[in-house]
Amino acid sequence: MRLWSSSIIFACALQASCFGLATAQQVDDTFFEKHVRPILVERCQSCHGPDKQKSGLRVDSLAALLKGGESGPAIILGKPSESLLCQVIDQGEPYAMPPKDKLKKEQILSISAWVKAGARWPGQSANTPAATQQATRTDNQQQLWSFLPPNKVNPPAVRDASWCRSPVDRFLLAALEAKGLKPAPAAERHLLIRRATFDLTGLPPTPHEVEEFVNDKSPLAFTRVIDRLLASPAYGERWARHWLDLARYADSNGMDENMAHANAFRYRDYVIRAFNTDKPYNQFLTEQLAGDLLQTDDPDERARRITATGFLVIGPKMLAEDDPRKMEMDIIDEQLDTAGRAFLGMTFGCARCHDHKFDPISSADYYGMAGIFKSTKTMANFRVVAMWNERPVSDIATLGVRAKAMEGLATRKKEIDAHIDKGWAQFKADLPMHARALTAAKRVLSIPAVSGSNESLLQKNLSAGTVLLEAEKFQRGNLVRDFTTYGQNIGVVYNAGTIPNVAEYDFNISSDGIYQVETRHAAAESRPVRLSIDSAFTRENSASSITGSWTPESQIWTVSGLVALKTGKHVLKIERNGPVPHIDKIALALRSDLKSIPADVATVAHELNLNPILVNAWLVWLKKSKQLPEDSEVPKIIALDAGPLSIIKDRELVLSESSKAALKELRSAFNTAEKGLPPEPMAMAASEGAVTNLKVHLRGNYLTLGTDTPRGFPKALSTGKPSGIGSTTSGRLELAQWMTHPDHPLTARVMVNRLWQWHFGAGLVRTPDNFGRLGMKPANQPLLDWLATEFVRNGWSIKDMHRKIMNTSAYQLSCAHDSTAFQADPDNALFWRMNRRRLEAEALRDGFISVAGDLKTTNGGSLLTVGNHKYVTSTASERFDPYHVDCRTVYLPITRSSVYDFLQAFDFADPSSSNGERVATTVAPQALALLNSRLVEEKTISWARKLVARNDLDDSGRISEIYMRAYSRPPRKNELDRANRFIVSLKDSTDGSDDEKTVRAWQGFCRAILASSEFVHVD
Amino acid sequence: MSIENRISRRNMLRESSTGFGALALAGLLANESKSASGGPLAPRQPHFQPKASRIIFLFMHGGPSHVDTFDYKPLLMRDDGKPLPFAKPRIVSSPTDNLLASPWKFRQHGQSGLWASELFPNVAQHADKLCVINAMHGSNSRHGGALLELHTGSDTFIRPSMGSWVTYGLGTENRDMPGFVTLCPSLSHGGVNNWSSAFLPAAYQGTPLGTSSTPAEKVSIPFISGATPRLSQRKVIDFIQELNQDKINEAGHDPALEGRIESFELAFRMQAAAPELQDISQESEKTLAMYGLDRPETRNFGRLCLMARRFAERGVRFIQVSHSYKWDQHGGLKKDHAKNALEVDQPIAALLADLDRRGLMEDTLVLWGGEFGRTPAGQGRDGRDHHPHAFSMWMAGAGVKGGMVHGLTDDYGYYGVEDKTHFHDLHATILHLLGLDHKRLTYRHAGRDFRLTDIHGEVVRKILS
Repeated sequence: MRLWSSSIIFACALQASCFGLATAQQVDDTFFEKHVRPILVERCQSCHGPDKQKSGLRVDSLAALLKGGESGPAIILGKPSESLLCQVIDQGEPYAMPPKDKLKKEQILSISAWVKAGARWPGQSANTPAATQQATRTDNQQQLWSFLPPNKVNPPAVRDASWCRSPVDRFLLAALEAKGLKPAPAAERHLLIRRATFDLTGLPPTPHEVEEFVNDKSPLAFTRVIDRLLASPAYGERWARHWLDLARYADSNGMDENMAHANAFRYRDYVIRAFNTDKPYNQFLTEQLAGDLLQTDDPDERARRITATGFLVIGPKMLAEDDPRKMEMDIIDEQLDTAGRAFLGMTFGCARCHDHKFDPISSADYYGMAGIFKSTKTMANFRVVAMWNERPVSDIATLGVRAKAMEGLATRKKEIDAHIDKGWAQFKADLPMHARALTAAKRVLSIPAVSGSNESLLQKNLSAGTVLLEAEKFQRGNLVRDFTTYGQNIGVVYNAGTIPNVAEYDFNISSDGIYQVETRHAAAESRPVRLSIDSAFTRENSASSITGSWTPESQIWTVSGLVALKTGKHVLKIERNGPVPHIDKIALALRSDLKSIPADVATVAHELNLNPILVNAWLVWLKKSKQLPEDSEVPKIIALDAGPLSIIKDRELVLSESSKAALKELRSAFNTAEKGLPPEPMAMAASEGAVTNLKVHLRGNYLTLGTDTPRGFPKALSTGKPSGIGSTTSGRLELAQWMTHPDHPLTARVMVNRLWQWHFGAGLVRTPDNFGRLGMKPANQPLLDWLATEFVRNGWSIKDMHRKIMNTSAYQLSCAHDSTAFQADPDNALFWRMNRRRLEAEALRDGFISVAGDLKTTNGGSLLTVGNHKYVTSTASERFDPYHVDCRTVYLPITRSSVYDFLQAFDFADPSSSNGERVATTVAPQALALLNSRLVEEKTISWARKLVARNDLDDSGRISEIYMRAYSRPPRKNELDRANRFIVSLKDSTDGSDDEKTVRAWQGFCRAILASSEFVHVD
Repeated sequence: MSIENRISRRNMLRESSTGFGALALAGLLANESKSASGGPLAPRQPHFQPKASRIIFLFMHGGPSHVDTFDYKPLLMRDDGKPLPFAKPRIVSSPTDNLLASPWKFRQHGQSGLWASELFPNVAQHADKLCVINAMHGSNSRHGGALLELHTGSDTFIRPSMGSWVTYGLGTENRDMPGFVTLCPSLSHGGVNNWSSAFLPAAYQGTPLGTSSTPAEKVSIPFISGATPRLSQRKVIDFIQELNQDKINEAGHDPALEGRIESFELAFRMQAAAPELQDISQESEKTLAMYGLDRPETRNFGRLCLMARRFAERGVRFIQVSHSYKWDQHGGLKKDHAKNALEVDQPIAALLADLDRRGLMEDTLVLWGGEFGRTPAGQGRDGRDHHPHAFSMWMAGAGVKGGMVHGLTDDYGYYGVEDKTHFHDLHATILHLLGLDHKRLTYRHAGRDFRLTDIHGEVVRKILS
């Protein structure tokens, strides 16, 4: 069966007619996008596209195909058998294309079918001139309504003008009247205030607020409610959350390495403040892309603007990616895609690998914008595990406190310096001591040098008679033995973490003699170890050299010193009050050339009770100056600029013991004061990076680069003016200025559509994050354009838009069902009634806490219990659970890989990507959460206890109170009776003391009320 | 679920339902019989006749070594300590040394003569059921990226998990249970992203039962039990349903309000079904011993495997069991790979035998593997690094040939040389076995049709039975 059908298709393919396919699937735009364009893009355009035009051919537009290349036209419309394109991909005559891997049979059939059907290319016609690809774009662009500036429109005339309270109503009513539809009746007043209060603040109204509004018969009553709610801090806490969905806000990175974003909360608090202060949207947008580039003399404002750029940094990032270039390009892609979606309702991400298949965004456009982010620093490094960029954001108060504290520290620092200066002066003036040091140095100079005692004997080979100790084979101690990473193949020790780090080795000496002690170690920083043998030998600075790295290839031998050892058992000990170098071996090499240990600086200085550093300084000076001065010359020599004292680099080491002790105390006081310095607040934020353009990455791969693309904006959305991006700036500010230009066709429209959607539960454009070709067109474009124009005209004020949208008859409609209107417009695209909405997860939780009377106000800040860049969740950790606090949900930590389960159950937006819409599912886990979650359990018992304790209320009064708080209305008579019966019945089926049973019964009633549709939905 | 249980559950509902509740119950029982209608999890027709109805994925987190388990490499044994005679990959997670022979002996098993190392003596007894896929490959050499690639097909963006795609495509057979469960998953290395529905509706996200730190006997469905006693709770639910019905009466037609009534009943049924599912006291001593519940080293994973069988019996569509983040032997390979294998070998063999005995193997696909393999070159002399360039997974059960090996790696197991299988191909094949065409299983999001396999993936036809 299968064989038969495929041979038929094969026969068709030979004739290149393939009616079977053409009839089976309509050859329309979708066919082209699914079956033809991908082949042209993926298999042809790397040689015949914008970057290369082998044989003069490109296949990225219909006109180009018709024009063809050196061999003539590539296609003849309707005639696959005569089309060169079809011949070369099928028969391979006169040449085979693609040159490697022939296309699959079905791909060849698809292209032939497409040519046969007339080669429809969306947005292009056969007449499109081939010479200018730009012309194609313009053509494409003109078909996309959203790429044209908003029309300046006046509100239309309507038949029932009395229904209209505002221009918005006239736009809506005109559309309804055109369909012969009538709007639903107005909402009942208690429902209206419940709607407006949840809508603007995310909280239920208090019984007092409800009564006040219900009894206020003034025509301005609702306007007053709106003004009161907009002035409430709860407004920003509600509306910031909408924006945080778009900004994919989270307090942890998520992705592969879920590190805590301990400073992300500052961005969240910035957004809350921006909404509460009605920051103009164009300003809000600009600050999030380029706030750090805006000039201001106000430190508080500067801190906020830097914080705003956290928008670019808080995205999910693959922090453990072994390929740093891929990591960087992925991060840039995420930033670009999020900014495109949130601000412009465009999906730029698609153009990373190929020209956008649906929207007029080319790969060159993508890399032009990507270059802007490439020139921006949002990561501190691209290591495994990488760290994001953070910047100090002290406000003026913190700056003041810090400045004062810094002054105090500077004073202490001066005291310390003065103390050292004084001690040094005393040291310098002690001429008898210098005379003794000169004598000692002369003595050391007279001792013949021992060859080789400063250079390793073992670097080359192990001599006979050497005792070799493997560092990891210690008998006693607490060091860690490592064989895999730092000790790969060799075995090393490193620090245990507990101090002191120590290891002891027992060893045998088989012949008396002088031994040279050496260690083999690797270290990237100096970690001098005290090495001692029995009590005969101690060297404080063994294995102190920096060898290059911690890893085996940097292991080298260094000498500790000489020791005389007798035959028999000995103990060698290494020790350090801190981390140790990675020691591989310790060796005692027999120096058969030596009969005794010659005196050195250390021993002579010790004998004469002098500081060895001083003696050494004199010794070096004597050698250098080639002099042997008398004691009488000491004052003169000490006074020399290049005298022995110039050899001493660290003056502190030669201070007297008492002076050293005093210095230690001064230092300790300094450290205490420094620790008391108020920490500098940090924010995740962007800085300017190394400014650079990007090349087009063919198929998104940085290993296959195409042409260089100057930083700029998509051509189809540009006025043709140059971007104005200079060679020394990233272009972020210019990008923001371009987006917020009053004539930009997308920015204002996208935002007013979002505002509309957050008020009505659906946008005028139903795809708020996609204003491109695959998005939906606005159901009422005149209204959208009018709102967008008004938005810009009124200085991009969001609160002004709230008033314009809410002070309408449309906003105040009921949710009443109407079968005629429902038949005509089941999706309510024309807004003939208000949409019933389920409370979002945050409003549900805040509602529970609020009705229970437990809600606490806060000034923001962080509830994260994990340090910055530490793992929020790890393989072994228990579930992170800081959620049981009575603050508003917007302040709870949002951890990407383990969102609070209650929020998750109620469709909290995935914080890993920009989301302009919340879905509202109705599934069993939500019912389980309402029945069994700790949150509902705690809030219902808290509410029940408070109610039972109310002596001023009888049971009916308690029920009324519950109804008023939860439903914003009193219970009806039958509801009251039913509730009383239910509470009695529930009490009967509960165990415990009478008081306990009473509370439990009320709790059950509260739970039922809060779980019911009337609470969970807003009409 | 047995007939008896089903009846008693109905009786319980009926007895505890009074007034309105009885009314709701009538609709509920009807719903049960024609569960094909409505709801995001209602069963849906596959694209074509499926071979498998469900899948059990035994996930070995950390990356078990292919050259120490199922990819036998005699030349690796011979050339122990010698340098790899060709280039290592351009991007590696850390440098490795010379070749390291497997410390374990391999031998052939069953009629088919399938090679397996002595790490898996019990699983090897089922050699003729196994379809070993060598030359698996991914592109990310870090745990996080590789886990995301394995579970979602993308190590770059957050995408729906394969379990979410499967439940989106097929719905669930048992409406008292979630359609996609994941037992004891790790919260690290992508965490919830490995079982999230991303842009698919939330109904398709995996339901985690416990985390990697939860002992097997403590795992449960989130919110499945609360402080309220059963009888009181039924009263509360009945009262909620009365309130909900009031709202419907007042509002008129509204599917969301109607859906809420059903969601509470389903929640109650799930609560009733869950303890029964988790109660293994009805299992025979022999069964418990077979899964290794009588021994400390196998008790935990054995219980998870037994639960997987019980979920499978009850028609859950996608069941993942994680042996969490234990297989990452950069060092201590000999000791810890042996310990890990000991923990899972007997339970997995028991699961295969048990599924077979109950006829569940007919329509259940079992998948075993990690996020990558380990380097044939050593890290020191007792460790191996991450290796996404070639590794082994195996399948058993519905729709796949038993006793076969698919794919070939080079002499040392470094790179695939024949019949390489990418994660995308694995995903395409899994969907195919479940009756879904990976190219047709699409979801429109942000302006385009998304697939589990993005623009890639070929069904591995050679392994289909």
